[in-house]
Amino acid sequence: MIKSAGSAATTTKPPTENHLLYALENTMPKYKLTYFNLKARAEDTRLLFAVTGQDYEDVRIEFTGYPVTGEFLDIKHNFLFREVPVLETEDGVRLYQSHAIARYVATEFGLAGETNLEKAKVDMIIDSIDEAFSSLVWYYFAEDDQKPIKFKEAFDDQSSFTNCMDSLERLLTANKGGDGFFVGDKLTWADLKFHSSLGDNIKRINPDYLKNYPKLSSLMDRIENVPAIKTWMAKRPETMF
Amino acid sequence: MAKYQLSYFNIKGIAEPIRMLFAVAGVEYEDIRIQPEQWPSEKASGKYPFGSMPILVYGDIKIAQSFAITRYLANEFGLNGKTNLEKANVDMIADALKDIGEKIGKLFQEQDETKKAEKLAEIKRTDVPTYFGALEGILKDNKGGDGYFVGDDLTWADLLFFSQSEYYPMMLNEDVLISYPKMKALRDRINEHPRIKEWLEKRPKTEY
Repeated sequence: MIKSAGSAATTTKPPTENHLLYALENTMPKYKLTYFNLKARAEDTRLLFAVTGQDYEDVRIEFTGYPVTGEFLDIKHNFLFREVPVLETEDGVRLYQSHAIARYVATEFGLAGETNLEKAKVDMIIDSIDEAFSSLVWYYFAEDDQKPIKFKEAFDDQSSFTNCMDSLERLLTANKGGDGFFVGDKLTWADLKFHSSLGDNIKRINPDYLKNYPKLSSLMDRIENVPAIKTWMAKRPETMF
Repeated sequence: MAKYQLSYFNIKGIAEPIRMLFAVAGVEYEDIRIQPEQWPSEKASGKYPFGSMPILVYGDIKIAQSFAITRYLANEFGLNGKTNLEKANVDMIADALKDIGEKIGKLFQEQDETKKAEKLAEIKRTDVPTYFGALEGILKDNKGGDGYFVGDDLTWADLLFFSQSEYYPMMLNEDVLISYPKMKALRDRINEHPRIKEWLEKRPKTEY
């Protein structure tokens, strides 16, 4: 398991098998996020911590592919739904489900939208991004000979992924011309989720495709130029996705 | 005066918790049901932000994605817990219910009867105890489990659970809640809620 503080990545030897016992044995940081050593469904939360400058313990479980093997299988009985991520706080909160976690953190820091309506717009965008993200996961998990098929399924003109990207470009543009952020006047969780789940992965596996989306492309640049995000991206571990 | 408009197919599905939310809150809305043959032209019209349903329209406001809609209305009607933490627990329970609901739903789509029976046995052995066991625990931890999932009052997580539970006997070939007494009692309690009872009596009767 790799355990990093928010500001420096260090590899430490695995804790005792009982993840919960380990947590009790050590001084509980204000926030502890446990997930695979992936961006996937926890990176939006990590980006939220980065952009707000909130220290947290960034615990990473080894990930070698799908189906999941190794370390996770030994410890998964400690997790309520046998899944990660999990967010723990010094007050004894233990929260599961990636969106519940991200929304909780975003709300604590005022990055989930200002009004109930803005929050709903953020939520709508989050859910749609997550559905599209599944197409990319299938690509990453595919055997080499299947990858071209999954690639085409994702990025085809008529694919559900492309329809989602079209909708996101439209929504962004509809927000005061699209040269700001998805919702309201400032960066929210929706922008960070787009970056980590979609934009980042598209840049990695099919950068030309993003050129079809000028407003989303410049949103990516805008996000990456936030100093705290730039810093985080430079130091975070390289991962499969 | 703008009126809420909810559009979905003529099924319960992922819109039913929203309809139940309106019922419990005692808020009027237009319960629009699109027929399958209408949907292609509706979708092509560009009215739907992500080309999907359900969608909530309220004056200028247009919201897609069932949980975004449910959460928005629950916040408006005070049915989403009191604190950020309570809301987060509601979200966690809702997302878990969605996960197990999708696993069950996917199994149900299996055409091969033998494979379906195998998958059903597997899900009853693994995912059902994992999810339902966890949810039963969460309910029990909330002051003994004779109230609701989160806090002191009904939230949309309870309605989502109730709505999903209507499918369990059909999809799992048994009332799986018999093994999860607090959840079963919660389901029965919601079933007796006067406004839910009224809705169940008057809603269109659909197989799904």
